[in-house]
Amino acid sequence: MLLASNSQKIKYFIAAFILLSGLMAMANASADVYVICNSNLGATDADIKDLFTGEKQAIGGTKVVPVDNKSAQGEFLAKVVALTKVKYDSNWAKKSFRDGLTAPSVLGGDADVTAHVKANPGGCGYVASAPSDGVKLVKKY
Amino acid sequence: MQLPKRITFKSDTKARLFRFLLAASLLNLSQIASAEDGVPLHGFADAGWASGSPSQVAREKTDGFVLGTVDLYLNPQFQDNVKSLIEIALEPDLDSQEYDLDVERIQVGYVYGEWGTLWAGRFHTPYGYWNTAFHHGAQLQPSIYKPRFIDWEDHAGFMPSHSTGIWFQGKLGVGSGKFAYDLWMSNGNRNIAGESDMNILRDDNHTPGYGGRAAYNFGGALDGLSIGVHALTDEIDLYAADLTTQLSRGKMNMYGGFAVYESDLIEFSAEYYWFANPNQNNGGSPIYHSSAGFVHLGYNATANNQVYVRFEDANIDNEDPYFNNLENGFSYIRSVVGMRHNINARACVKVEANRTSIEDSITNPSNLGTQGIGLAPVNPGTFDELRVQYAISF
Repeated sequence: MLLASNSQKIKYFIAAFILLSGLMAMANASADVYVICNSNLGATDADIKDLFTGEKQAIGGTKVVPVDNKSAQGEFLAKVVALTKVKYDSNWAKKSFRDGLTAPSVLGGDADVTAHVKANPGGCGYVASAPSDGVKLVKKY
Repeated sequence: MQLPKRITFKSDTKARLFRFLLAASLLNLSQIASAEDGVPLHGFADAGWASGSPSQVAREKTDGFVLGTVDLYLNPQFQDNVKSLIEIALEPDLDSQEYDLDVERIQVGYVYGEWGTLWAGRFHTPYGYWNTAFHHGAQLQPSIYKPRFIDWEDHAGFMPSHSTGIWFQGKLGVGSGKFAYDLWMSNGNRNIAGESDMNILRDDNHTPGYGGRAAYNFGGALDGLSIGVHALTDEIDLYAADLTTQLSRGKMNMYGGFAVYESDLIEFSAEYYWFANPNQNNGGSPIYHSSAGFVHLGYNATANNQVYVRFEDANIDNEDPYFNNLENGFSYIRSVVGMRHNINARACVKVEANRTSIEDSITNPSNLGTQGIGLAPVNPGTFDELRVQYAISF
């Protein structure tokens, strides 16, 4: 009886573990970040950090206009540029004061970012779900 | 002939009205720009408290609450290649305790690419790291005081911290890092009764100042480290307070280097300046040698709390007409210790203590004897100060 009980507990534990792993995998899947640019802009994954920190302002003669995505900014900053929000904002304050650069506008969500990227030859941004046609996927994180 | 640096007013009421109208215009411009072009108004402001032991430098005596500079700037961009920086500072005058209006920067730039931007106008003179990195940005600056010898011209600075002319700057990718460079040429400065002063409308002695800066910004494992060199030269005539009587001529030739390292834990910077200044009142001979430098080290004890220390040392040859004509052109040592708490990315509180030792004894400032310009003799001495600053940026 005791053995059966223990065996049942182990089964419950394994089932719970599988369920939890599945939920975690789903959570991770929802936290993906897709960096996108205008389909005519020759941006590569090597450019991404420089574009969003003001180190690079043009690609192939086209001025890059990066935008932030409010709904995915936390994941983007952690995964892509490896900066806290405070450091990221502080970095742009310095760039603005020293070099006359303008910090990326913060748009509300994926749809706004995608529309910006499509409409601007130098548009770049990031979205939380797989990007639609008409934009270039630079890298998935 | 008056060559104004600042807009000054005989009538205090007119001055206040002008300041109000200027601020209102700037805010209005920002609102118009925001609506049409999305150009925000940025700026810095700070307030604090200070207490210090009696200093022989009367204008540096501080006891009580202190207002800092109100700095406003815009950086409108026009199409892809044209950008600008317009900065206005309302700066407390150390003597009158009134606010003065300074046009800090009016730069109009053309961007050729990452490798080059050509600026024209008035800009922060690109030497070392601090002068262009922080300047009036009290909230950006790691400490309350900047190193004394690179302070502004009308404070205690040894060098012109602003220039009016052209400035070419750029970056090139080299290896895992970037090679950054600056070249500039400007109206040479002048010295009015002991204060270095930038010529914004014309060069009084038709001798331009020029200089350059080059640095390598490391990437990869050394990301955050920059090492560079800088140089500038300027021929600066000394005028009496009437702005027309030329009393003396000074020339500055500066060479030096700097290093910066920033990481999550460390904020380090060091700058060194070596001067070889010929006596232009005697055919360029002799050449006087002086030097100045500082080392600043900050340690981030937590994500939002930093402790910092700084040591500054200036060794000045008092026979050099360039330094002897400056109100604060004397040797000193300053030690600084402080703490900084970042409330968020836009606000911080700093507490700072410093000890300054003046090492020179100068009985005849400006070397002009009875023709002197009223500079007070300098005597060796030590004074201490404690400061608190609450600084914001927006």
